[in-house]
Formats: sequence, C-alpha cells, structure tokens
Amino acid sequence: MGFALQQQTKAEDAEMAAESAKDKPDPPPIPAANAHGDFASLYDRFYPRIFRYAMRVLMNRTLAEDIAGETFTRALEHFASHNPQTVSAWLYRIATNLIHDHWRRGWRVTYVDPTGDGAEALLDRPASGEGAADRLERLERWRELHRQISRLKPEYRTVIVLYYFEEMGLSEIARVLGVLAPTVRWRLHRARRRLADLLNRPERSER
Amino acid sequence: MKHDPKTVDALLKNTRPPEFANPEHQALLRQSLMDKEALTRVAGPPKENRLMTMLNTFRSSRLRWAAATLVTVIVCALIFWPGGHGSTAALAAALAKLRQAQVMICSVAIESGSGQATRFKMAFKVPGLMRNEVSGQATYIIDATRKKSIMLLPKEKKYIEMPGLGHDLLPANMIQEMRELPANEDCQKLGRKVIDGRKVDGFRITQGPLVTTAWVDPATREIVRLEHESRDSAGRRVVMSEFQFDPVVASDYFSMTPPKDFQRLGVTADTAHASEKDLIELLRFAATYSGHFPDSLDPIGLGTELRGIASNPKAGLSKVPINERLKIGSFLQRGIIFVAKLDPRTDWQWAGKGVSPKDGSAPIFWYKPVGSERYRVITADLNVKELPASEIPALADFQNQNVRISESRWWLSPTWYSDRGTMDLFAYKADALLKSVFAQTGTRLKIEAALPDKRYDLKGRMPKGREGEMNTAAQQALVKYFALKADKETSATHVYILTAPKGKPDFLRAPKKTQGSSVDQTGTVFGNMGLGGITNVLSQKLGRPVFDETGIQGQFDYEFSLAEKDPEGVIRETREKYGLELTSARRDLEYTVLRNLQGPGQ
Repeated sequence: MGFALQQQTKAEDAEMAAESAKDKPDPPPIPAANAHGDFASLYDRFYPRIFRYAMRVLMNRTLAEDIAGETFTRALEHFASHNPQTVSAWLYRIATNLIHDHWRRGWRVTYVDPTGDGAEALLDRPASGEGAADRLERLERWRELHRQISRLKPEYRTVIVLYYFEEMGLSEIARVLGVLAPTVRWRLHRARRRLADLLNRPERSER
Repeated sequence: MKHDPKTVDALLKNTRPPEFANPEHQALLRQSLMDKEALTRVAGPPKENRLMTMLNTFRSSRLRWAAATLVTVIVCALIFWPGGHGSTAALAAALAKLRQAQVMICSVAIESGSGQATRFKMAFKVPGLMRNEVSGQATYIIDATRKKSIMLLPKEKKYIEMPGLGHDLLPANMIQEMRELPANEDCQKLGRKVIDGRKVDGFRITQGPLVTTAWVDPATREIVRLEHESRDSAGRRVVMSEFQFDPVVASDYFSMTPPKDFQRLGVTADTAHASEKDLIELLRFAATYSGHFPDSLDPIGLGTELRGIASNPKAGLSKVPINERLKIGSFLQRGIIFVAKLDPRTDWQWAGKGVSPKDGSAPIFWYKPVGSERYRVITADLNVKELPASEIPALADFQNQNVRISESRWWLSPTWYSDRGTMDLFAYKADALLKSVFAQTGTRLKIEAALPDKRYDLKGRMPKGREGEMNTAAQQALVKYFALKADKETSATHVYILTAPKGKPDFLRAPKKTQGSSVDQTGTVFGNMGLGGITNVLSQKLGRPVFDETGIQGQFDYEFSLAEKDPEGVIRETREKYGLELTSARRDLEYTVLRNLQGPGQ
C-alpha cells in the first residue's frame, strides 16, 4: 500500500510540474491613470467578464446578476483604495468570495432559477457564423459538463472555471483566491482527478 | 470512454464555454452605480467605508419615518371617526407625467390581516408637502417647510389646525428616496413576478422591526408596489401602489388654506413635542381598552393595533366629544412619534407583548437616552425608573416577538448569521432551528416533541456587553415559543474513540505562517486547525460522537477526505490512509431532551 501511494505521488508530482511549465502568462497591468481615475470605465470594461464568470460558475441568471451587482457595489466602496495594478484579480476575488459565501449559506437547498430551464441560452452570444442548431448543441454540451463541474467541491469548481474558461494563469488565480500558486496547481490537479471520477461515475457527488 | 486527468484536461481545453452577456442588467446596474458614485463624489471621499452605511441607514430610516407619519395620520383620523373606514378614497387631481418627479400620488391600503383593508390616497410634493384623503371623509395636509398641518372635514365643512404632527418626520425628498430603494445594497432580492400585468423585481429591506418590500419595474425603474410590515404584524401591513409621478394636480391640492365656507374648529392639537410621557399615556390607553399592552411598538404594528382598539365599539370613542377625541388622538400620535424618532443608539427595547398592568414592576420598555449612562425603564404599572445597563433584562431581545412564522420563499436559502451579538436565521423548519441554535453551544440535543411543520425566522440582538449570552437566550426563547420543556438527561451512548497507535500521522504538516483556517462546506478541508476538526468530520460520517484521545496537540494544515460513507469504510480508510484508529465504545453522555410541555399533539 505504501509503495503504491509513493508511486502515485511521483506521478502526480510530474504531472503538476508539467502543469507549472505550461502556465499562462499574467495579463498586462491596467494603466494606473485609467484604472484609478474612472469607475465608469472600470465597470464598462469588467462587468461583462464578472457577469460571465458568475454565470459560468453558477449557471443561474438571477444569482449571476446579484453577484455582479454586489461585486461592483463593493468595488465602488473601496475604489479609492484599490491597487490599479491588480484590478482584475481584485474584482474576480470579490466575485469569488461572494460566490463562496452563497455556497456556504445555501448549500442545504437546491437553488431553482425562477426564470426557468434554459434561460441561460438567452444570455449566450452566438459565435459569428454559428447556426442555431450548432449553438444549441454547444450549449447542451456545456450544460452537461457544467453539471459535472458543479458537483465538485467549491474550491475545485472555481479553479476549473478560472483556469480553463476565464483563461487565467496560475499566478493570477492565486491572487484571486488569495493562496500560493502551488496551492492553485494542486487544486487544479485534484480537480481534474475528481472530475474524471465524476465523469466515469456520474451518480457520485462530492457534496 | 474512460476519463483520466489528461482526458479531462483535453476535454476542458476543447470546450468552448458560453459567452454570457446581459446588457440589460449591465445598463441598469451601471445607472444605479453611477448614481451612487455621484453621491460619493458630492459627499467627499468615503471615510472607513462609512458612507454607504450611512446612506443606507438614512434611506431606511426615512422609510420608517414615512411609515410612522402615515400611521399617525390614520390613527388620527380613526380616533376622530371610529368606524368610518372601508371605502376607497377618490383620486383628487388630474394626471400627467413630467420627466423629473416633484409630485407623487399613490394608493395606500392598510390591511388588517383578516382580509379587511382601509384604503386612501396619499400624495407628496417636494420639498415637504403631504396630503392624505382618508375614506373620503377627511383630508389631511402637512407642510413641513412651514411647520403647519391642517385637517379638512368636507362633510362637516370644518377644519382643524394641527401644529407639530409629523413635521420633522416627513421626508422632504420622499419621492427620490422611494425611487432609489432598489439601489440600496442591503436589499434582499426576491426574484420576479407579475403585478397588474407588469413584470416586476422584488427587493426586501429589513430595518429594525420594519420590513419593506419594493416591487420595481426593471424597464422603467419605477416602483410598482411598496409593502411595509413589521416583524410581528401578524399579516397586518401597509401596501402602497398605483404610483403616479408628477401628475398635474389642482393648484390648491396641497394648500394649507381651508375653503372659504369651512369653519375652524376651536381646538388645536399640539403634537409638536413628543415625549416619554406621551408613550406612557399611549400605553395606558391601550391597556385600559384592551386589557394588555401592544404586541410591538413599531409604527405600523402599533398604529394598526391602536386603530383596532379605537374602532372597537366597546371603547365607546364615538360617544366621546370631539375635543376629548382630539386630545386622545394627540397623545397617541405623539406616543408613536416618540418611538419612531428614537435614535438607534438608545438601544430601545419593547418587552410588553402579552403583559398587562397587573404584572406590576415587570419591565415593558426601556431605552438609554443619548448621552446617558443609565436606562430609563417603563414598568407594567407605568412607572419609570432609571437603571444601569447591568440590570437590564438580558433575554428581552429573544422574547417571543422575535420568533415568528416565516414567509418562506422557495427561491431563498436558509441562512445563518451570528456575529457580535446578533442572530438571524431565515426559513428554518422548527427542528432544524432548534438543532442549529443548540448546536452553537455544543449541546447534544434529542427532540422528542411534536413540532409544527412550518418554517420560522429567528432574529435577535443582544445588548452590548452581553453578546456571549445570545445563544443561551435564543435557546430559552425557542423553548418558550414552541411550548417545550428542556430536561438534562444522561444516557449510555455508542461512540467512537479516535487514537493514534502509531504516533503522529504523516499527513499532519507543520502549520503555515499565514492564517489558513479554510473550512469548506463539507467540513473536510482544514487549515491551521486542531484535531477537533477531524473528529467533527468523523462524527458526521459515522453518525456517532467521536472523541479525540490521540493526545496530538497543535494546529495543523491537512486535507481529510473520506470518500466512503459506510461506517466500516470510514474506519478502514481512517486506519489505512491516516494511521488513526477508531474504536467503538459506550460512554455516558449528557443530552438536552426537548419535549412538549403538555405532551405531543396537545
């Protein structure tokens, strides 16, 4: 048993090292004058990203609106004291904390979106040249994948969405989550393993 | 297809996620935020983030004051004309909309909770005019800027001058306050529904005992309906609807000059100086005519209750001369105004629900005047004494009025907040509520009582210096509310003992320098915590209490993930993966057993 565990750990280490080597570069910092001077431009630039992020994590329009609204309300309160060099991570961090708060408060019951099934399709921007059938198929594939992702523990869910769908690098995710980059790499690694388990055994849930 | 981390990686990389966008919400939120930003700029830079807090308090207070003003008007009218309620008031003036609202008219219904409602029209005009038409029998106009009020009695062709009432309570910019309600960051979003054919979004603001629900048309950002109710209103509420912004009204619509053919009644109702004495007279009035003190002192609840007392034929107010009725109405108004104006810093409390004057020296109300170190306490015999904070009853905040049947909404989640002496549980089933509150003190609980199949809220606050008593106070309040008795009993219980026969397990690492107390919702991931965390997880997994007898001390970072759910699997995994041993044993444990006071079902 001990030997098997040791082998497994080595394989994981190698996989994580490879992950680290192919990490995505950090986004360029926001110019200070632009970021500090005008909350409106900050909002216009980041609202679509924050709303999209919340939707991708929660798949619920009402909740995503709440998260986006609360994120920018809090951002406005602290706007004068924020660091313009890390504005993206700052906003994502607020949103992530709010999402985690929601999960912490609401995990005992299943949230039902009052706007009904498939409402998220209304919010999806079709790609250029994409036909209606292709779009529906793409959304259906997403829903199925999201269904499995949403069964992961919250810390794994967010790291999957941030890394693969928000296309952040490990160090930027680390700033968002307030942890070290190796922790992010470890969570990403564990998240993939758990997700593989869930995809292989769809009836099993982490919650 | 068999998935592994590599195939998952490929799957995720090849998935093109939706490009979600919501321009409608983006535009609405932008407008709201820019309004707030403008307010911030006008007020200067925020100091320790107090600006928004101040604004929110300001707005909610305004609403509360507005409700108080509203209620005083109704109380006033009904004291003068007991029984004269029921029909819908006529809409006074012609209508048109201007871009910038300076005038607002709406319909108001005070619902009794039993299906009956008193309806009237209410109008505001900036900077401080208010007009009410009550049941077509009386028109009441306040000019806050000139500190004048007048009541017109069209049937009798008479009028009464009333200095003082509501002048300082009337929000001068009520219209703006109402329109900005949804921007309040403390709002609880209730989702969408259709009212009168319009899709509206609901927002709920809770401020003290007053709960305000605003239904807003997201397309126009206009309020379609406002519902005010108190936490203990038992279905009584004030509903404002049919809002008209900037209708064209007659030139004398808000005029303080009575029609020429109206005669002045030779009485003056002085309501300018509301004081503690007025509240005492109000309480005396309520106790005299109903036998007990009011259930609550929030403006709506109190106003509605007084209205019920005044309109009861047994009170005989219809036979009282109008001058006497005017005096009664005056001190009732002043009493309500006194409470409505009490500064939150006074830490005022009402404990008079269900209490009668026969209860003698039982405290029913207390507050600490701003700047004073001592509380003024009104007792059931309506005497007043001054007491230090240490002698103020500790459990008052958790008496029955703070446990109420919830209006549980299916789209809201049960929530728990407990911080700095405050508690707010929402939409809990009775057994879950009891378990949650007793779990806060580590009490082992057995519920052997029949409990109602309803959802409940519990909200409370402990005075400064006694925050630590909150959980105990809440437990006692719940036991009382559900008519239970709590017995301490000891019984032999199957437990597990956690030991470390091989010493400190490898998975326990030295704590990080940084604070790492991160516990996720399943309670399986820990940082900088002792082994108590493990025993909690194991207790949940095994369904039995687990006692830590490893002797391992200190704080650790560790992840403790147990995939198996059957007890044997948990025990095996604990042993094989972590080197910890779980041994079954029997221990005498003390439980708190809750039973019905009168037996189940009675």
